[in-house]
Amino acid sequence: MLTNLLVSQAAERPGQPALITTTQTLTWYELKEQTDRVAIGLATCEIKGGDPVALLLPNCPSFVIGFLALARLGAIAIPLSTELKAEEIRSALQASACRTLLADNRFSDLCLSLLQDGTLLHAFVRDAEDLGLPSLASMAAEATRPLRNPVPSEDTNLVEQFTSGTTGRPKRIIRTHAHLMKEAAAFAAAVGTSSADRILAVVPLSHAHGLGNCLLAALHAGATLVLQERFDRRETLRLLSQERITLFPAVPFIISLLADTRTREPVDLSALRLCFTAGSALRHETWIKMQDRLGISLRQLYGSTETGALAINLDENVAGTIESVGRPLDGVSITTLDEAGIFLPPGTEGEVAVQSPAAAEYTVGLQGKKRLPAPDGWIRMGDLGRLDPEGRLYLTGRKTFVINVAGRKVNPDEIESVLMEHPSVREAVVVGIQDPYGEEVVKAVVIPRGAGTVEEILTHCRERLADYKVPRIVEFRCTLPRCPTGKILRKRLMDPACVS
Amino acid sequence: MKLPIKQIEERLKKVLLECTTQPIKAEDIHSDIALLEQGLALDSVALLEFIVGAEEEFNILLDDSALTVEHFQTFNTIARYIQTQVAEQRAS
Repeated sequence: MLTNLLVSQAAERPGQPALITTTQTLTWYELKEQTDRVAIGLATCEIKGGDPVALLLPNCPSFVIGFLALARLGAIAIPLSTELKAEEIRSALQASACRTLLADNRFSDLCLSLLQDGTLLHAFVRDAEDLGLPSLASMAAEATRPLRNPVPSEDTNLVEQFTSGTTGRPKRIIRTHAHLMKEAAAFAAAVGTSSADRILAVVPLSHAHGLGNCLLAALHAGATLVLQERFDRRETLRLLSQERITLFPAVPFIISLLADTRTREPVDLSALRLCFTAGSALRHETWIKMQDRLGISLRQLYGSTETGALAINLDENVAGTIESVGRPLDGVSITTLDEAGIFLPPGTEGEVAVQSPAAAEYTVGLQGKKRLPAPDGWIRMGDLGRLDPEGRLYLTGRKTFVINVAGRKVNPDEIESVLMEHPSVREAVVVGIQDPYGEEVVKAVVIPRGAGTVEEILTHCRERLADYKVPRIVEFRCTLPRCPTGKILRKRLMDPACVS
Repeated sequence: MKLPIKQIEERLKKVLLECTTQPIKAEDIHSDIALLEQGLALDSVALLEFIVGAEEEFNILLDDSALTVEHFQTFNTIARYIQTQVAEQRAS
């Protein structure tokens, strides 16, 4: 069980820092104490094994403590992105039948409104302030009685995350204690993490990348996790330098900005032994820029919300394998399949399919539960790729229309539904197109009804969607390209030059 | 000596058009246009790209956390902030 890791770390290295922020350091002993106290507080509110509880928190000790307290109780943690808008948060809570929310103080008004309309039964904010809500901080301070709840078994569900899915509305992915333990163990075996490591968490812990490769990696190794609440270029560089960070999981967009950022003080990255990106493809120019500017040889990791980390490139031949996401982690199998599901030989492009002991067994959508692996036992990733003869995976594109905005997957259906709610939109199709920097951005093609303007449509989207989901480009058209059967030819709309 | 505000606005216009991946029309950029929601509607990614581009253009360092919504109220307000930063950083 995940909580056993916390107990072991607190016993083996009680005085070593577990969490560091700009204002606070918590040792492993203190982290265990606070986790137990919050677990007691939640149990007092009748939160028990199997109950879903959402976390709407940035990278901060409260996220870690809340997550571990839920793990201790056998409850299901639902980490939500703090970028979501009110309606998206409400939909997520309702989809998961979640009645309890642990939130950042800035969401206190939303919490009060969700309590008032009956969506929530309990809401806790992060710090004690006069916000009319109980706080995690006061809950920890007031806990008195011992925790008597049974320790959950390894097949207990632990985390529920939302993913864009390959078709339809967002799906929920549920993974157990055993899944996350196996992911953490495989990552540690590959990377050789130890209690001497210091991991910088800039990527959100609510995302599979941050949860797996920052929080779980630190918990498994007894490493120190340095938390940055929001990305700030020079603060990130300062933390890398002054906190002597050894492991830096990132995304290409962050790396690209860091490489372009000049500083007054020299940046000392001599402690940094591994910096890797995940979420979207690393461009060759970004790799070169990081190498030239900061002397760092970037690596790539491959994973997903459904499976956790699957592969990492730690090849000795760094320069010759820049584009590869590496070889499979322990216990993971990766192959490529053709349209008929037949295995393809090395060097041939096909759909990437995987098997992993850390992968979720099923997804939950509007149509109910669906087994994640296909009947042949392989999980289709929706990515196109090829393997080289030595088993390195190279990703070459996407098989589905899911849009990858700097590592965050956006389902076109969700945006289209929001667009169609606008009275000036008769029909809408959303696709991903590459911007001049090689990053994917959201483009909406709209057949208008009446005299709506682009600005009106964008305002409508901004009120209902997280910023990264709001279309960067809105194009008005009279017709949509269709095949003879009437199906929209999305690929024709994905050409950036294709503007009418 | 402070750089003339018109000159700063012209150079920032170039930065906006060249450094941000968000499509913006040159004719939409003027002194009074808001940079955020009701104007050019730069999102968080485009804002960071703009800040990095402005640093490069004026050879200054801008502190991400010191920049607030007020700085982006209009194209002119951010130009004035950069005018101050250029003057202060050149003096030091």
